[in-house]
Amino acid sequence: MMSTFLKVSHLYLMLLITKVITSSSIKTINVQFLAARAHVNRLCLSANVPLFESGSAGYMGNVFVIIKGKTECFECLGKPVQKTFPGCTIRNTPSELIHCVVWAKSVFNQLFGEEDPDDAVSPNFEREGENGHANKNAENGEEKKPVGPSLRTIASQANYDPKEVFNKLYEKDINYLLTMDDLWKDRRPPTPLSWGGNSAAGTQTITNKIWPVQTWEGIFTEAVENLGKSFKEAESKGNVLVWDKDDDVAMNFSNFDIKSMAGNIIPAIATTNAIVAGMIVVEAIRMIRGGVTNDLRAAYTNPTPIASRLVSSSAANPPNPNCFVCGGGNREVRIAVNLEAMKVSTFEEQVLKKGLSVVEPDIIDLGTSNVIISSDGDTDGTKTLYAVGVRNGTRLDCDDFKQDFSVKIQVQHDPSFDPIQFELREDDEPVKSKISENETGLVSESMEIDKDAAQIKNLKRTAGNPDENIEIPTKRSRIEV
Amino acid sequence: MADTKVISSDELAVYDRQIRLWGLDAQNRLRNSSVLLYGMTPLGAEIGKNLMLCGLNALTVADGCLVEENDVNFLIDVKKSVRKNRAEASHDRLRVLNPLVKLETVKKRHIELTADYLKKYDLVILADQGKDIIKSVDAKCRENKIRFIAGGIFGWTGYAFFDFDGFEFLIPAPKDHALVDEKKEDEKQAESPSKKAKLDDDISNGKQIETVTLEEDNAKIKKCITYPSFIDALVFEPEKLTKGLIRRLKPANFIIANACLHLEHKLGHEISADDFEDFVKLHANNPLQKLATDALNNDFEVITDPPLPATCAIVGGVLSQEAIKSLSQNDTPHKNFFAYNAVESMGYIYDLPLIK
Repeated sequence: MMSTFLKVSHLYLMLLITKVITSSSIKTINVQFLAARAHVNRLCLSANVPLFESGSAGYMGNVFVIIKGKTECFECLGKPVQKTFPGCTIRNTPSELIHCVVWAKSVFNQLFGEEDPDDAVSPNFEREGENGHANKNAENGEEKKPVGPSLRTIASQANYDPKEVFNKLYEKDINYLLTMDDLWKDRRPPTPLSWGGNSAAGTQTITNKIWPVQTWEGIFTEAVENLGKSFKEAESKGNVLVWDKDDDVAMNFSNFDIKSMAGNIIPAIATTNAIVAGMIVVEAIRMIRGGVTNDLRAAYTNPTPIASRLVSSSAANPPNPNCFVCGGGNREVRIAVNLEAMKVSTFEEQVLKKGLSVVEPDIIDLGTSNVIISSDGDTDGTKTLYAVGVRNGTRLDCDDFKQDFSVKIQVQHDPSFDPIQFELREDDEPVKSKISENETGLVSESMEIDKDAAQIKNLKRTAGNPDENIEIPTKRSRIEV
Repeated sequence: MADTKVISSDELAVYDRQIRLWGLDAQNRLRNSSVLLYGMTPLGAEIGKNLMLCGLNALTVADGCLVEENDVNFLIDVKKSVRKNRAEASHDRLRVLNPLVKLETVKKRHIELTADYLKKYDLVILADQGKDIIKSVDAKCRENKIRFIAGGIFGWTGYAFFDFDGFEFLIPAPKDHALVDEKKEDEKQAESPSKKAKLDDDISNGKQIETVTLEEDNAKIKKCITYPSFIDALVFEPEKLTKGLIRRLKPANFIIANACLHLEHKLGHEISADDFEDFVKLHANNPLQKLATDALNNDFEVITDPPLPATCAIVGGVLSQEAIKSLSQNDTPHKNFFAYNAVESMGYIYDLPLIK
């Protein structure tokens, strides 16, 4: 599969170059995932071929040219920081739709997915102060803990009876919340809902109408029953359910706007795409006429004019000398993991492939010259990193022949991490990158939402221009240039 | 306008992404709009494509010109269509873009663009037409309350002019209109002379303010926006431009578009680099000419080359987005002139007339 991908990538580059040279209309480089874009970035740097990186999101669009040693590359800005919400806002005082979406995904995991005590959905003793920040009640000796038995316990005792689950979530928990007087001084208190026995009501759903509570009860019943059934099947095989935005039953559990938020969709539209395509060609012509040393520009378009400019450009940014991709030969990244808990296979999948965007890494311990991971696949991935001799401070050489890319990794041991957690530490500045349990495909980390929006903000801050078309095609055919 | 129709679930699926961006109400207004696009030039092709994709009720593409052997237009199979009407020749490739839109491609000379004919449309767009045609069609549209846009390409540069005079837009509410309570307070305080004067002022300017949605943070108000006519907008007296105004208005791109429109009108044919050079020499002692020639890097070929497809895509994209905005009454429109120049990759919005 990887070779197919590579062929596609090369084809794409060739296509791009041919198009640049013939200066006919070029489409945006709409490679969807960050890892894929990072991969193309490395191939182009390796082949020393100019790459026009572009994206459109809503009314925003941008293009910048990546030329080795002259302009910044796709990975010069580092990894995006994920947007997070304080757990107490989600549990106690949700005020925005996104809070409810995060809550719903947590409920899903509490009921049917991998249970995570940090992800509890019931109210807790953590209270919000005036400024909206968490304010622990340490004086009263109360510890931060959810009230009573966990949602999973209640649900399985009641055999996933929708009524019991409903009453726990919407009546019991809300009544408990109401006892926290402090919370409601400046806020409208919530109204508990009790089960109205409308479990059969209106499961025929109509989109784009406001549903009465009865309809919600019907939808809730259907979702809990179906998911409960699937969960029992999965559980008997030792599995759990995974939330998927394209599964209607799972989706009804939490719909339209929600799909965007929970599934990270930022819409791309024909007009912005046309503008971005035009900008790419203009910048490509500029490069061909002026050469790679002259007047390279990054161009962008905004929803509203900035200093009268709707379409704007500025000199391309120079490369970040500390970039671990284009910054030159011996760049080193520091990665913290729990050596005693993390398996070699997890290290390969999560840290190397997801964290560093490599595709077929060879890992050699620079101290002992032991091969830790071989791209031929003849190494044992079931042992922990500690068991194969990796210690705190061990330096590893990571080499990916497919990308013509290598980087040194200094491993740091952090015993507080769980078996899949890691942190990229570049230049003393830790970049948090707790990856959720993607191995089982679980999205237990509600905070992943908006990671792409954060990416845009991140780029905006640094380069003064937005990036990213985080466009995920629908299952149905659609009209799009 | 056709009878109001509500969007079907098939359409919902097709337009899913854009509805996510501009909302269902906006899509429903597009669904009930009919547009006339006159001029199937390379810019017209960009606009036609964008408007087919956005989900109108009906699009009419009209043109009086024939396809020439050296035409470059992605909606026309030039080899098969030489000497055919440009609008009719673009039918097939427009049709496949979106079967849900009523599409009509007709032969029309510009003298046939009578007020009676134009009245059928919610929006009229002229692509690459002369100054006198823009002026007369704009006047008819203003009289009959039809939204109007004109756009044109001169080589690497291009412009778009918007006239949505007297149409309402849903724009984000200023903070003091965001909440019901505050609005009531406004009314209470309306007796205070300064507030009252401001309200009167707003009303006399034709800015009737009506608060529509009152959710905190994303409250929107209906605002009626006034636009000058094409002929009033293009009034430009260079001698009134002070250094400060030049620095603030950055008028180079407007000057280029204005000069091209003017020259083309005066000469009655497509302008050549020599024409433009003569024009620049004629105004050599005017510092503004230097601004314009600097913006073009002193290379006049760039405005007399055939339309650069990339410039068509950018100007066509901005123009179409404004068309969509005006028909869907969504968001704050740009007022009222866009001028793009690929030499320096800059596209400015100007509020014309340049000097008030």
